[in-house]
Amino acid sequence: MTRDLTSESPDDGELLAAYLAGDLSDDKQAAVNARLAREPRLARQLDELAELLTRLHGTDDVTLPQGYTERLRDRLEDERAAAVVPLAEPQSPPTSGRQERRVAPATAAASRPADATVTELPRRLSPLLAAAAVLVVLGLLGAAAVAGIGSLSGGAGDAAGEAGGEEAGGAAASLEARAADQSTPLGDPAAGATKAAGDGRTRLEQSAEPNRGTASPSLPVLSDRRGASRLNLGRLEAMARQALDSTANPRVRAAALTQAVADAPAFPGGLSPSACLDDVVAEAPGPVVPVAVRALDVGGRVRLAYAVAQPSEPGGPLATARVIVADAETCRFLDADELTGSP
Amino acid sequence: MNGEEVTDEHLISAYVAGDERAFDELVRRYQRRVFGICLRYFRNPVDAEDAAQEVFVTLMRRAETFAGNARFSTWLYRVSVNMCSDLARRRARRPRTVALPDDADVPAEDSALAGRELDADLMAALRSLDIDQRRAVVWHDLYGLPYAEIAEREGVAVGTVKSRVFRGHARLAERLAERREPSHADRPPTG
Repeated sequence: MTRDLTSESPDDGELLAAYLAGDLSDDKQAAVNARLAREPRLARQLDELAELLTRLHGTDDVTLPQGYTERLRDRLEDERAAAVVPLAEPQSPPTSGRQERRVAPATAAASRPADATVTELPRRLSPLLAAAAVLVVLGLLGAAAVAGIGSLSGGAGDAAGEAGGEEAGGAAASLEARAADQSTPLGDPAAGATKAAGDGRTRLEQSAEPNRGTASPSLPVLSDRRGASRLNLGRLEAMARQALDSTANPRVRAAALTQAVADAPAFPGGLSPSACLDDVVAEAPGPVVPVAVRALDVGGRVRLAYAVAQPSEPGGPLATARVIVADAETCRFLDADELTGSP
Repeated sequence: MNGEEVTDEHLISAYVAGDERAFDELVRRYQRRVFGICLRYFRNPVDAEDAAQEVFVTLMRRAETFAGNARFSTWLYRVSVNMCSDLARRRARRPRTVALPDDADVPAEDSALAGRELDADLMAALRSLDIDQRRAVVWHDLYGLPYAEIAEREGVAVGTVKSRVFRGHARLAERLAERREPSHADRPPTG
């Protein structure tokens, strides 16, 4: 289309149709936006066109999937909460060591950590809960390297992005397996980052690349927004993303929060938040910094969902946020299909 | 706040000013339409739902970018289309299309229109389009075919198909506007 459609002309209708279809270049879109701001007639024409397309496509007459409204509400509540609830600093993590992996009887009492932000599980899952579950926010943590935390690009973007949106922010990125990093001390991500993997922007739907040079299975990562949103893990994922943007002292906070996750008091029902932490650390290619953990019941099985952050490159800042879900009893990692019940 | 009495534009302003209930009302009003837009795009309710959620998350985060030149519903339409397009591109997944009858040499406008239960005004406006535009609009808007597939079927360039579709939309909007607001020349003399 070489004609100048961005000045008033009889072709305005065609121009506006292309505009609504998202078929204009950025420059032409900007020109249309400028005209809309100063030409009410053009704006009315655009409204009429949008109304026409709504009628033509019958978009107001579709049947919503069962549970759609509830899932949307839960997702938005997750986003809202993540936007307004500051992540808590772990002020006084318990001094006890990591708790034994177990799923304790539901009658076991558990105290909520005083320094954690606690919220109920989404309503959508509440009927399934055999044991009450809570979200324990253990706070922000810093990047693996001192420099560059505030200047992340790529994998840690805002999930909303421009009007078109970013997909799942850093959580959509894949793991680039680096078996040699598996012994990286959890509490010192900066040291581990010197050996960390590349950014791994290749999309990962359900599983990572096989670890190189190791017999360890790949680490399934619930990496796509679809799976995360269905399980209402959006907030958890958002917390990991927020960790990427932290400007706090990275080394100190990472160490403190890693310890806090490891030592966090049990969930109601006695489930230890760190029950599968060793496995997450062991299986992940490169240093992993846990940000938060959530317990949930899916189909009668208790799962632990870990929000983790990882550096994008050796010595680089934390740039990838992920949610990794494991069966709480066996610590077997679960892929998106298993979690969402897809075939 | 009685949601039905408040305009969308008022609601979005109220939300930007901090009224969360206003946002909830907008979601209630538009959750079906946004899903419908995304469903038309992806032809898959799972992907459509994901995209619809992202649209509302975007609305939540970027409500202040609504300039208010056109209606809120128009702006949300664009946000939805752009979101679907963006998600599809990121997933490197082409939108799925519906199966067409093998003998669909000529668009079955009548059956398609009947199936969609378009109202009389819209039906008449469609029939007023020239044949090329009508075929393009029917294929694209009623059958959901992508431009490239229509171009292949019609033996023309993709740009030609787009032009026909966009012109068709423009003409349809004009026809409908004329029916709502007859021109002075069409009006009976008032004495």
